[in-house]
Amino acid sequence: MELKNNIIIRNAKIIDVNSKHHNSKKDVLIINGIIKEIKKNIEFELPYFEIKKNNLHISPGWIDLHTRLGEPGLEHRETIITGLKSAADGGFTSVVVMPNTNPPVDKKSEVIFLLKEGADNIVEVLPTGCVTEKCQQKKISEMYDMHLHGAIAFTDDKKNIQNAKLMSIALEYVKNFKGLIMTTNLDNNFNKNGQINEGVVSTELGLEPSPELSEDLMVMRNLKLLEYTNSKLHLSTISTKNSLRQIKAAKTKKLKVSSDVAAHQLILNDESLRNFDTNLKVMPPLRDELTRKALIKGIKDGIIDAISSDHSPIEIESKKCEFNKAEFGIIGLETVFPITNTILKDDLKLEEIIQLISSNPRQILGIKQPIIIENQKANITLFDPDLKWYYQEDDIQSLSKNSPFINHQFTGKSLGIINKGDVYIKE
Amino acid sequence: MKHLSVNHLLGINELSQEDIQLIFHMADSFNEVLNRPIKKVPTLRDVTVANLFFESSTRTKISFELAEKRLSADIVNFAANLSSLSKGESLIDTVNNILAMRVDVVVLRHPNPGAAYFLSKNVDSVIINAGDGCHEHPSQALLDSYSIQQKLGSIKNKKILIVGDIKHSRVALSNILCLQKLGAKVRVCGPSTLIPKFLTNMNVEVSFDIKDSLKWCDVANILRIQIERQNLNFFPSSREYAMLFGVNKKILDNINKDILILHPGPINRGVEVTSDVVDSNKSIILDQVSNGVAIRMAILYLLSAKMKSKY
Repeated sequence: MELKNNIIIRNAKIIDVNSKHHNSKKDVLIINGIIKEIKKNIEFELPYFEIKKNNLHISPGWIDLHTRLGEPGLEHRETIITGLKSAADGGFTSVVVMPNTNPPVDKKSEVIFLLKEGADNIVEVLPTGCVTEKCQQKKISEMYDMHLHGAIAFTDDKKNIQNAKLMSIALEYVKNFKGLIMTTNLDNNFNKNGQINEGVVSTELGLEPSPELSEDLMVMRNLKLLEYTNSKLHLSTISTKNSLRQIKAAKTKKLKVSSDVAAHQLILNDESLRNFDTNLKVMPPLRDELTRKALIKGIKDGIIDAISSDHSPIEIESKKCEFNKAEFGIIGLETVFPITNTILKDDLKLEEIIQLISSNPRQILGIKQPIIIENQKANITLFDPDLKWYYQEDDIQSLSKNSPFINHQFTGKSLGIINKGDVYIKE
Repeated sequence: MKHLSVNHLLGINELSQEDIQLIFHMADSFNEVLNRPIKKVPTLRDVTVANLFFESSTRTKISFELAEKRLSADIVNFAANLSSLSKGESLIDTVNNILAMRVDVVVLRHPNPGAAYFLSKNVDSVIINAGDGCHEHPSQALLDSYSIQQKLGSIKNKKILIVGDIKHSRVALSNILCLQKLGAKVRVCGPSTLIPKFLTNMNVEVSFDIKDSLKWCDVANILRIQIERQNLNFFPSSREYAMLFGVNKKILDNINKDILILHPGPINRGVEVTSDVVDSNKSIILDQVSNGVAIRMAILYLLSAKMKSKY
């Protein structure tokens, strides 16, 4: 990362539907973090840092809705520095950080800690707070205080709230300050030790099945509670056909609901688990091919609003072991765009793909959209949507290496980011 | 000589039909050895086998041990409750420590599905899966099919019924795969709460009617009800299980047809099957046990031969 006062991006194709420069190839001059000029062949007399790359595209900076940094307390998995480096490498200028750390982020002091630790980083940290104290699902936490000090939303992450009454209280309570609840969706009783998707593969491997129904039941309950409370709810990392149907119906009813899907669900199915690879162990689990295709269709139909990384760094000791003992999770920040672009490039326009990881998540969170026009702050991702490349273990910036995509070929790569007056160019 | 297509025995799923027939063919030879006055051959005299049992077992362990002894292998035994696993050592480290003492073959029984697969990828030794959680128990399925073939001549197009807790049974899964590879038609019968939802997608018939199923089949393999594997009660009592799915002499007399009865043991007499059936001439339960040693000798012999062929 290098602090540069004067930056010129040369001959970049601008992908930003909110900008008058959308789809044009121009130079962009950035001075002290502000976009000063956008036109062809900018000339500048003072010394400047030049970014010149083949097939360079730029868009408003990308944002991830589901990142886990290991701090505080889980520094053996990820530190704020390594996690944000991973985000920058994946092209993200902002990350929404999950609160299930040790201790969990359930008071303003932890929110302040995360904001302070991330303050000097090129990537913006957007902390979430726990819905319930210590994510223990007994009573709601001081969400207003956390909101005042910068918590962007509230979630108990994978410990999604099982008690319907408690969930309805949380949904009601955040209305007082127009807060947002985010939730994963799993009925823990019905799921009961589920290891992989219920199907032929789980039957043949003898692994405890996690049926799609255990998500469907929870999505149904959450949407009923949303209707009852008239609050706002984001459903994180959905993964079933019925979730899509239910969300579609809820949107038709004009409920304030949004949803995202984890990128890995779009490219893998449960057949890949036949060799008991623990790097493929995630929750919600990889589903069958029919569901994978349905999720892709759900994106095209606009039922799913965003694609997230579900970034879960796990140390090798908790992955290189028997399948039942291994922890759930895949690191994802560095592969969200490569996966999304590889899978969707033939079906969606490039700007539509970019919206799934930039303007749509910001709209869900209710935060300002960066625009690539003159006199705006430069919050920009640099990328090449056509570059074919292999993701290698040496490329991984995250402290943990639990990715099933090592040696996988992708089309499309992020090349760097510009944010907060800084530049990060991927080597 | 012919070799197996695999380097380890992790599950039936990876075996070809030729592999299975090769194992059966070798088992015939070893059965002949076992009937001699001196039941021992020097075949594996230079091979060391570790029997690593991370879960309790009586007959599988004894059967493997006997097979190893009949082949003159050197043996070390290891049981989990005495092990360093309780001190927090990982499975890989435990096994690697044992292998560092120059062990060639590991026979592994483990409560986690895929444990044998995991070891085969991470340690340098021949791995034989002696049961991994609810995944597979290949040597049991091989000896079951071998015993059926021995009685009926062939398995092709025979109707085989598996009765009991299918969901938690590695024996059921390995049996289904093995029988299907040998051309049998397979049906399962048991409490609906203990039958995996997606079994029908594997070309397995599912029935909840024991009388009808016994009428349908040529062979019934009755599984033990594994009360210790159930953390929820999938049926209210063993009494009610016996009422719905118990196999007794009266039912067998009524179907008016000769069928073979198998059971992998240990038997809960009076629950899944009554004594008058176990001890009847329809039962080949003790043949299964005898054949178990021959089948395991064949497995050990063929895998060791494959290992040596690579030197």
